[in-house]
Amino acid sequence: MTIVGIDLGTTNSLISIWSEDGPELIKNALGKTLTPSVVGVDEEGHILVGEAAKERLITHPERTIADFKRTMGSDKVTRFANGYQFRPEELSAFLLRSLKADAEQHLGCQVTKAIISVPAYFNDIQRKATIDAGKLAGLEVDSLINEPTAAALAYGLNEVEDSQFLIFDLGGGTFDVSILDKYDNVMEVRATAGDNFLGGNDFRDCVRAELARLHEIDADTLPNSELARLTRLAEAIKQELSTREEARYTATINATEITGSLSREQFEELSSPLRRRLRVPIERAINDATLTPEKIENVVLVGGASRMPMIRRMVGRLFQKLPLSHLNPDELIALGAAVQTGLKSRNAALDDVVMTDVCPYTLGTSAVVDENYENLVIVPIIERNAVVPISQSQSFYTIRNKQTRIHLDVYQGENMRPADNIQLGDLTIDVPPAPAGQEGVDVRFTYDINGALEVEVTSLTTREVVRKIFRNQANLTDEELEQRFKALAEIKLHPREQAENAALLARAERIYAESLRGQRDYVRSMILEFEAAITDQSNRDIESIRSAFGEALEDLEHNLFDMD
Amino acid sequence: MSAWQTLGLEPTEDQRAIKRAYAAKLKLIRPADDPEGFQRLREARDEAIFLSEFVGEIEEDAYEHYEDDDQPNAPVTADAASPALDENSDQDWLAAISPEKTPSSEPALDENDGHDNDDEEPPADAAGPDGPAPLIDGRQQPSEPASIPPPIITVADPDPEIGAKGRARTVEVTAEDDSPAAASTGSTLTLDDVDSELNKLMGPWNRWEKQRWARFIAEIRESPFEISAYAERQILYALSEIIVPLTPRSSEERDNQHFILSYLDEEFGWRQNDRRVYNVLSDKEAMQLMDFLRDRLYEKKQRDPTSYYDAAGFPILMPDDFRAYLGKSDTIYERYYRQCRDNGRVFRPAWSWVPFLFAPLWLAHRCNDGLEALVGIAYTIALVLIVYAINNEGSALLYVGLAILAGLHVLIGVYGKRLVISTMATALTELEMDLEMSDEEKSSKLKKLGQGGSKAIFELILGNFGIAVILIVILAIFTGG
Repeated sequence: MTIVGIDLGTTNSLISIWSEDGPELIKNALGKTLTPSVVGVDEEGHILVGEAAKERLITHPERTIADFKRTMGSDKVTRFANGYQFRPEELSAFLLRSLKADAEQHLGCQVTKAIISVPAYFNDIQRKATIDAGKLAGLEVDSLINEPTAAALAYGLNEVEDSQFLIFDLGGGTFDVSILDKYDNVMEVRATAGDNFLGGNDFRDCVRAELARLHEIDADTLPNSELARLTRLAEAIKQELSTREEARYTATINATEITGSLSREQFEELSSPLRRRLRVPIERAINDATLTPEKIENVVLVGGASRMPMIRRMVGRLFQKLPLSHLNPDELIALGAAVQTGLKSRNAALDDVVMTDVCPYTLGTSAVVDENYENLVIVPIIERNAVVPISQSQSFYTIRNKQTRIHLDVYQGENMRPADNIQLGDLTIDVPPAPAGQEGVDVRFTYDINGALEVEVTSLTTREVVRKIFRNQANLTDEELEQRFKALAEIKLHPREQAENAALLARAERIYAESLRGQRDYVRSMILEFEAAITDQSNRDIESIRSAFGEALEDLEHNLFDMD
Repeated sequence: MSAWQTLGLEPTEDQRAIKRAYAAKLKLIRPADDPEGFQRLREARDEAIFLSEFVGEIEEDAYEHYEDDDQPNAPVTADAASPALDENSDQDWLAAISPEKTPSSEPALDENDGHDNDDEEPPADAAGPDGPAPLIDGRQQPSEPASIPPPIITVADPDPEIGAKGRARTVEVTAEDDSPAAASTGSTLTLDDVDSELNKLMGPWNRWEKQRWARFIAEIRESPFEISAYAERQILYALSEIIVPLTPRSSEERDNQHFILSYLDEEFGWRQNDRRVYNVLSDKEAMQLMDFLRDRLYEKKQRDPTSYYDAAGFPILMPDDFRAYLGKSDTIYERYYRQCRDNGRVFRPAWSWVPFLFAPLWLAHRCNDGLEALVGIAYTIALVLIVYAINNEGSALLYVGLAILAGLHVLIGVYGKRLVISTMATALTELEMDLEMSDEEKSSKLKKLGQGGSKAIFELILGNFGIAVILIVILAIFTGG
């Protein structure tokens, strides 16, 4: 039984397996390991995923969506122009389906089980949404793995020496920090902290806002396609500034030409509030691991956004140490997920390695603890960064004479006041009437490695038990899941064998949309010619036509975007 | 079974050995298959590590060595960081994960090297010329292609880090100006700087220097951890001592205070994680400060979600209040009363009119059940005695009647109020437990109930007030006549 590892990222997603030679990334239909996390609907109602959809962000903004990982766990519904409506987990499901098809093609067999990576700081609701996405794609999610933990697995396997190290994972949309201790083939996560709404995209938006300010563009009133173009330009500038001191740009936004340049210094100045936000989770993780910064022997940078020089410099400055980075920070998490699948299936090569992870949030209930019963506060039952799986219990007593019910709210979060935390749910148990303090319940919280919380409340006198596994209202119920699974199965993905053609055509159409006059005619004739070639069944030479078309586009683009 | 037995160890102070024993056992258990066994083992490990501190004198054991290895990394001087990287015996680890250090042996992980060509450039070029920046052209035509220099991907990354990293490979790292360590020693604050700057900022209380604060905080947040942690602590101390009791006197001051506090809050993430504050300050101070932050900064947006307000902004009691305060319904009343006051609603006719008559009631509020009754009785007797002292010619019946009236006054004041509140509490709890009712129905019923409660308390106070007036009239008659 093959289990695949999946990195379901904000910007890009990857799929991997544990092969005889270690972790291996599987290439998509276009021969790339990175599949952009973009989903769109084409004119025939087929779902486009990946490169082709990404190109269509500019040409068909009303039929394409990116960055949906940020809304995971919410009820936000995306409406496409043809009337389709999808929740974030359904959009993720399409992405997973496409990745799954890639893996099946590569392995030549059905793939039904997967380990999916999630940001360590994803909460319970977001984790369940991810599992649901897997189910909707016809994948049984064997377990979830925290992204920095996965990265640590990929790194740590090659490490001979025992050490304590920190994983700094700045992805497209999320930021995670994990501190690990490796000794005797045990990889122990000591602490994890993060920010679910901080990533490379925020840095990009920072550039975008600056562009809008410099050129007096009102981003709020900009039509979607123009906004997508501005975003693309901002992304290009951001990437450019990772390797150069200055980026010059020229673009046409809203029929006006904008020209200018942005220096790295300016960019760093603009994004300093974002950079400072990176500190809070780092500090918390270090404190939680009961360490001091100088005890951390290595800092490992993961995630595409960690390529930015200012990030490396900041980390270097904070830790007074040169951070380590991998050639392809985008791929590490997927590789680590593959290692995890190897661990799961008890692969002989990994037999000696044990990995332990932690629960990043505090879980608890609310109760009055002061003698005047004046303040309702959180009583933590499982403290954050406790090693999972874990089961902890605590007793609570009635505070009123003849009280017949005890009501328990279950919270996740770090604040003392209940209202400042996330309420996961509640449950109620009956107790026999008695003087205050004589009746009570034993509350047991059990948190498994996948981040599922089970609460068991036992009355101390009657031994009556109430049990509940928490499933938030923001998530789909089982029936809804079943129903949506059927509905989604009806919707076809764009055929995989045509993925390459579709991506090329989408790219050509975007170039067409961005060009003018003479070049437009040229691009149009190329598109029509290529379309004719692919519909002509008798044409045996489609491969060479396709590569010629691709090269022609590449040339065109290189004249447009230097950084590509 | 003791922790040592679980681990299969003799008591030892060698923490390294404990970890090793734990690792060996862990491999037999497999956490996913045996969560309880895993938890037992883990707890045994933690306990053993705790106990190990007391097993022998603290000495140079293996674990200490383990820690000592880090000493060269102490973040004090510019050249401290770099040797650590080279001297640590983890060259293989470095080689495996940072290919730029050993470009000849690229790890198997690497498949796509499109982005990192620059990293492999010889370090000598690190300070090389930037070359003209390429044009990012999102425009239609490739405008004058000849004038745009082709992208020079192979130019060395001008970023100092990479330069420094490149040098690290050749084991000749010196304290270059570019290295992160040098960057920090060169520009950041020292502990003394923090103190003196903070003194200056805190000095003139009537003037809050917005820009200077912002600069200071920004600088702190870019400094190494120890500086930042120290500054945060100092700021918290200062805030808890001085700012909380301070009320801004002008709107300008209020704006400034608002700006600075929200800036601090955002940068340090206090409201997001209030343990940062509770770890530094005492519980009481911390609670005060957090309340202050919540109330002052977010009073409009973040009202206590368990309290509901009627159209006039008057608080209505809601179930969470009861759930929180089930033990002592008096406190609800206190809180309710405080809310009236905080909302600027003068709602205490009795207090302002004849405070001396109601003083015992107020006293009773502060006491427990038994005392309340005593105070009530004492009050009744005192009242009768006063009347008797003023005019001792009245009939016995008058004194009995007077005593009954005074007693009623106390009873209504204390127990009547309680009755209203506990009746409401029961009704609310029942309503809340009713699983069949829809949420909308519930909330409308709750609202009605809450308004009913407000009204009942109002009537109660009116009634009490009426009795007080009768007593005053009687007193007036006796003193006058």
